[in-house]
Parts: sequence; C-alpha cells; structure tokens
Amino acid sequence: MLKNLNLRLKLMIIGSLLSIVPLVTITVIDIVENRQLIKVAKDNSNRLSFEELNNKAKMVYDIADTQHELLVQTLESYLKVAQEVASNNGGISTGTRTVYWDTVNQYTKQITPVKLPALLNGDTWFGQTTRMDKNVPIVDKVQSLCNGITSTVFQRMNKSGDMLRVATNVVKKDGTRAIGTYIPQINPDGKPNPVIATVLAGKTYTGRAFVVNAWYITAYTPIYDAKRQIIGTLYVGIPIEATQKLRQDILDIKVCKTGYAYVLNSKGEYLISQDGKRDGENIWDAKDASGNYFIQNLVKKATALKPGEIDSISYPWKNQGETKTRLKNSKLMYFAPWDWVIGVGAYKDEVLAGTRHIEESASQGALILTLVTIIAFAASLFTWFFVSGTIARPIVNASEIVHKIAAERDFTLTVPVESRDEIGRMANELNSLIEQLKTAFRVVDKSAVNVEEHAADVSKRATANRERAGMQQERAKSMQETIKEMGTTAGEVAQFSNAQKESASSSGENVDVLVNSMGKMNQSTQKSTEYGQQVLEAAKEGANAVAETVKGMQNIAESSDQITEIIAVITEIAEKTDLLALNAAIEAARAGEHGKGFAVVADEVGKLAQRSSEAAKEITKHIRDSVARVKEGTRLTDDSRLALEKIMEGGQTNVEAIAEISKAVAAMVSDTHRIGDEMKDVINRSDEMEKLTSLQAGRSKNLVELSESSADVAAKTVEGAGAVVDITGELQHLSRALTEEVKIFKHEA
Amino acid sequence: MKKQQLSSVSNQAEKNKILQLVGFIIGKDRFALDILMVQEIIRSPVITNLPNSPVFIEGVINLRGNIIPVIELRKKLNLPDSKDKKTADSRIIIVNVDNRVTGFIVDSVSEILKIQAGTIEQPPDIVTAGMDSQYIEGVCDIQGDLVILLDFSKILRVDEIKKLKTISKTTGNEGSLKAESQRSKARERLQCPPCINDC
Repeated sequence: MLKNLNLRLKLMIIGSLLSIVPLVTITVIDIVENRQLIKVAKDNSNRLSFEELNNKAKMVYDIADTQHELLVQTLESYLKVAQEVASNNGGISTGTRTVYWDTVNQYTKQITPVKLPALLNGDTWFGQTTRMDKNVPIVDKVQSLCNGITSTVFQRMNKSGDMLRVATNVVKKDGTRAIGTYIPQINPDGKPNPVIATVLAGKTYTGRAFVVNAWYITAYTPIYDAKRQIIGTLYVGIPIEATQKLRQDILDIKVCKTGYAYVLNSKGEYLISQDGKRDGENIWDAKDASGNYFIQNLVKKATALKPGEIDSISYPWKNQGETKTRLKNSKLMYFAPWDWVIGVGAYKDEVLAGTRHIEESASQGALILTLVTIIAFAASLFTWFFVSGTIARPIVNASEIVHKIAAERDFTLTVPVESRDEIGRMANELNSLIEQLKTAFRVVDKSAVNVEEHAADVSKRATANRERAGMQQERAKSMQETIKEMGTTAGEVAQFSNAQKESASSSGENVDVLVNSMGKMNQSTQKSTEYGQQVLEAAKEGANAVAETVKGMQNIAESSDQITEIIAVITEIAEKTDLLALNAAIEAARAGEHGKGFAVVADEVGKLAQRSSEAAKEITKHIRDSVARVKEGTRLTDDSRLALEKIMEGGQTNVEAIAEISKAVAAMVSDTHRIGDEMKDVINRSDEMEKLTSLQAGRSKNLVELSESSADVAAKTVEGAGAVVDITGELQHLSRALTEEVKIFKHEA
Repeated sequence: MKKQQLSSVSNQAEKNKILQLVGFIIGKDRFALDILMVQEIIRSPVITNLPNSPVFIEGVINLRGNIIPVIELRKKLNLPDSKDKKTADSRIIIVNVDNRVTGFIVDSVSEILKIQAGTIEQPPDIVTAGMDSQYIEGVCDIQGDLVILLDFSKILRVDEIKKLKTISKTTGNEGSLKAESQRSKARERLQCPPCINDC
C-alpha cells in the first residue's frame, strides 16, 4: 500500500508516526495506570474508613460497657451503705400508729386512699415529708454520704406486694419529694412487674429505670422486719450519665471531616446527638433524603444485634444548613443494658476526598498529555509537510520534466539542478542523458536525409535500367513474332514444296525474304546484346564510381589528417609570433620615442599572428566537418554498391540469355544461307528440299522455344529491375519515415 | 608612479597622454598593467615547487639562467578557481617591481592596450576600503568591457615581500644558472632547519 503513495505522503506518514506513536503509547499507559491507581486508592480508603468507623463504634460501645459495669458495682456498694445506715438507726419496722395515704399508681395515675401502719426507722417515723428542708431519715443520710445518688424507701401496701414510696430524696419538678406513688405488682399490660417480682422473691433487682426525669441504673432490695417478713423495699439509683466525661467522650468522636458518633434509644429518641444540639428529640419518624424511615430501619437493625456485633447502614443525608444531599455510611451497635443504639457515621465523599484528589490530578494529567499529543501530532504533520516537500520536490520536478520530454518529445528541456546532493547529481545525469539523446537524434536525422537522397539516386538509375530491360523485352517479343512468322513460312514452304518445285523462282524470292528477316532478327539480337552489355557496363561504371568515391574519400581523410598536423604547427607558430609581438611591443614601449616605429610593426605582427591563429582554428573546424561527412559518405556508398551489385547480377543473366538466342539465330542464318545456295538445285532436289523445309520447320519451332525463354529472361530482368526499384523505393520510404520520426523529436531550440 | 599621474588630472596634457597597458585575462575578467613594469611575457615553462614556501607562491622558474619566483595571480587576487587550470593560453608575465623580478601566472595575455590617461576612472570607494584592495589603480571601459588596472608594486603586502626576499636570497637572482642553482641548493640545505623551527 505504501508503495503506491507518492514520495511526499510517504515521508509525511513515516515522520508523523515516528513522532506520534511514542506519545500515544505514553498517554494510553498513563491513563490505564492512573485508573488502576485510583481503584487501589479507593479500595484502600474505603477499607480504612470502614475500619475506622468500626473502631469508633466499638469504642463507644466499650465506654458504655465499662461505665455500666462500674455503675453496677458502685450501686451495690451504695445499697450496702443504705442498709448500713438503716440498721445503724435501729432497723426498719412497722409501728402501731396508722397513717392515711392517697396512693397514686405510677402508671395509671389512679388514686387509691389507703390506711397503713406507720413505718419506723428505729423509733423514728419516716413522716409523710414532701418538703426538702425537713430531714427524712436514711435517704437524706445516704445522699449526704454518697453524692449524686438517689434513694427511696418503699412500704409494702398489701399482701400482693404493691410498693408505696414513703421516703425519698428524689425531687419532683415542683421541688417536693416524690412520695405517695406506688409501683403496682401487676403492670398495666397485665404482666407482673419485674422489680416487685424479684424483690418479693427475696432478691436484689438491678436494672435501668426512668426515674422522674432521667435514666438511672437502679437497685431494689427487700426490707425485712423482725419476723423475716418483707415489709418494704430499699431503692438506690445512679443516673446513667453520672459523669459528663462519658458524654463528652462520645461527643468528641470525629470521623473524617464531619463524621460523628450518636446514640439513640430503641424508641428513636436522640440521647447523644451531634454536638449535643438535638438531645432529647424524637426522630423516630425522620425520613432520609429519598423518603425512607431510615431511623426506624436503623433501630430495627441495631436492636437485632447481639452484644459486640457490628452492622452497617448507608443512607442519603442532608445536614442542617447544607444544600447537597450526601451519602452517609453508618456503623451500628446495640448496648442492651442501656438500650443504646450506638451509631458512628461518615460521609462517603469525605472518605474518598484523598482519592478524589488523585483522580482529579490524574484526569488533569491525562488531559495535558492528550493535548500535548494532539499538538505534537499537528506540529509533526506541519514540519514533515515542509521537510517532505523539500526532499520530494526536486524528484517530482525531475520526473515531470522526463515525463514532459517523453510526451512532447522535446529534447530542449532540461531538469533543474537545485542541489549538490544525490538528487542534484541525478538531475545532472538526466541532463547529460537528454543531451546525448539530442546529439544522437541530430546525427540520425542528418543520416536519414542523406540515405533518402542516395536511395532516390539509386532508384532513378534502377528505373532507367528497367526501362532498358523493357525495351529489350519488346525486342525479344518482336523477334519471337518474326521467328513464329518464319516457322509459318517454313511450314508453308514444306506444304507447298510441290508448288515450290513449280514456282522455284517465287521460292527463291521467298528464300530471299527469309534471309532478309533472318538478317533483321540477327540485328535485333545483336542490339539487345548491346543493350544488355550497356546495362552491365553502366552498372560496372557505377561500381567503379563507387569504389573511386570510397578511395577519394579515404584520400580526403588522409589529407585532412595531414592538414590538421600542419595546422597545429601553424597554430603553434602563430602563438609564438603573438608572444613575440607582445614582447616586441613591450621592448618598443621601453625604448620610448625611439621605439614608436617598432611598436607599429610589432602591433601589425601581432594582428597577423592572431589572424593566422583564427584562420587555423577555422580550417580545423572545417576539416573536422569534412571528416565526419566523409565517414557518412563511405557508409552510403557502401549501400549503393550493394544495390549496383544486384543490378549487375540481373544484367549478366540477361546478357547470357541473349547470347544464347544470338547463337541460335546465327545457326539459323547459316542454314538459311545454305537453303539459298541449295535453292538453285531445288528443282532437282525437291525431295531434299522437302526434307530440308521440314527440318527448317522443326528448327523454327526450337527457335520459338528459345526466343520464348529469352522473353522469359527479359521479363525476369524487368522483374529484377522492378525489384531494385521497389527496394530502393522502400529504402526511400523508410528513410523518409525515419526522417519524419526524428523530426518529431525536438532537438534544436 | 602611476598614482601620481592620475592624481594630477587637472593637467589637460596629462589627461590626453596615451598610456600603454598590457591586457590580460583571469577567468572571465579582464585586467591590465602598465607596460613599463613588464619585463617580458613568456609561455608557462616547467614550474619547480619550492618546499616550505608561502601559499601564494607557485614555485620558481628558470628564465634564461635566472631563477624567478612565480605567483599564481588568481590565488593572490582571491578570484574563483576555474576548471581548466592549465591551458595552452596560460602565460607568465615577468614583472620588474623595484628591481625585484617576479613572475605572475595569468590565464592569457590578450593584447597591448593604448588608452588615454583621462579615460581611467577611480575605483569605487567601497572597493578600495579594505587594505588588501589598494592595488586596484583604476577601472577603464574598453569597447564595452571593464578592464581593471592593477598596480603590481602594491600587490604584495610587506610581509609577503619579506618572504619573497627570503626566496630571492635562497635562490639568487643573478650569476650563471648551474653555479647558482648548486649554491642555492646548498643554501637551502643550510637554511631549512631553522626555517622549519620558525614555522
């Protein structure tokens, strides 16, 4: 395919490919490598962020777990403190006094008036004290001993085990002590209350409970009287968020840029929100950006987890004050003792921020590389367009000129030589080739014209020969007719031999006629022999002339060599004379006034020397021309010599045939003479005469045959001459055609 | 000498004075020099190369027993080389400048020119501006052709004349050929080593 393109295009394609292929390869490799790099970076950052989220979630969980453990232990010791306080004051027992209570069910808020024996600590009644400034035994003491904890004393209301708060340090919202409410043994849902059930079974209950306004870790233990009957319950509670530190720790957790940890309970209430802004808000019915109840989803997922298990959820989320929805990944854990749904979330785009940087710079790099490739491609195309033009133009020019020469046959054109490199040399060689062709065509042209002239000459001569041969043929024909006549006459003689006997005189006349005609015939054969000879001689003369011409030409060539030598001598002398004249002029000049006459002479001598030098140059040129012409002439004369030889051959055959005829005629003549002689005895010898006449008739038949062959030969001669004319005609035609062919080529400006 | 003549162009008689010049050709260009400086014109004989000679000196020739240094004028004038260097027309002009005989090779000697001193024009300033071209004495129009007149007494620079003198000393200028050439050979042998050291 590349072969068919022109040189310029080829150079352009190769050059551009050389510069572009490496660039394209680099670009492609770069793009592929970048993709791989980005993928690895993405995977890694995803994995890292997952791990980090996991760790953070676990951390929150562990904090809560530890705190819980600690709280439970603390609580147990506080409970012991409370029991110790109670027993120090003389234990708890029921007195004989009756106290009236309007008891309130803590769930149903149903008020039931009850009459109960007063509960005593030692000898002191707890009193129905709601005021904070009045001292209440045990609970106030416990609070003073253990800062920040709540404690309550319950009194068993009835056999079934409803527990009534009779003394407490828990403060209601209105600032009074929270007494008068009771925990029913049966919950509103119909199930036995777990706290009551445990306490009645004689065990201590620990667990999470909402007390008045916050979540507490609580412990309930039974109060026994002297008869080991359960008469009440002692309660101690610590708020779960006993230390702000725990809360702060969770608030402080940061993942990536804006990711944070949060805690919900299973009802969808915010316990710990981002920066604590939305604490206490119920977001159970919150929807994510695509309209799903994602919190319900999240809580459902989390509560199904076992302790220490981690699950993940992702949802589109829009923060307050943000315009864009972003995908958020969250890790979930569930801390059952506190009903904590722990979540740690981070935005996916932040996780991938680093990767995005890499991605951006990679795409920028790819863009730059692509631009560079395109620019380089354009630049290389541009450069190679000019370079290839410079290289290819001289070759294209040369080929166009050669094509033009071939098409127009114009040898005056030349290929322009623009440089000295290989192309310039090629152009030079082409020029010299064209020059050679031009010279060759000039020579051929000249020779063709000469050949045509000579062929015309030969043709003329051959035509003359043919005419002569034609005449000869005519004569042979007339001779034949005469012989035929003679044969007829001889027949008549034989036929009328008897009449001849009678008319001997007329016979004699007849014989005379015969003799006459014989003589005529003899004459005509002689003439034709003569003509044949003439043809031969003419041809021989021609040959001789040709030979002489050749000789003369050789002489010319020899003498021109001699002349050239002589002229060299003359030139030499002229040069020396010139020099002599110059030196003479110098001498004359130096002689000053005295040398003036001599200077004139020297000048003249110098002019003479120059003139003779010029003449010598002229002569040399002429001699060179004549030598060239002589050479050409020699070749042409050779051609005409061959043509003449052919003519001579034909003429020779002709003459020989005629000589044969002549011989036969001579024999006939002598026979007729004898007839004439014997005519006188014809009367006496009529029989003999008859015989002789019949013989005569036979001979005349022979003669007819001979003359016919002579006519044939003559015809052949004519044919031969015709052939020569044809050959020369053809030669002439060919040389003319050659001349025309040569003339088509323009070789002279 | 000629310069003085040319400078006093105010004189009408000087202007009309006929000068005889020897015209010669190098390449396609025509040059001329005053006939009185020319001692003789000879056909180029065999030129003997001189070892260790300056570039512009072609060699020495033996002119009727005198050894004369020969200078290729083409090289000296920085004219372009022609293809056919040695032709039958090539001549040596023997010039006598301040009693120093030197041969100059030219392509051919054309004729003796007779011109009026007034027809000689000063060369353009731009030509004579360089130090080297001070030997161009004038330009003259002869039948349509420009002929450049050269002053051979200025054609060689001082250092070149010094080198030529060395050669003259080495080869000698008078005396019988045989004795002189033998002597000169002996001198060459003696003087060559220091010369090589100089070079």
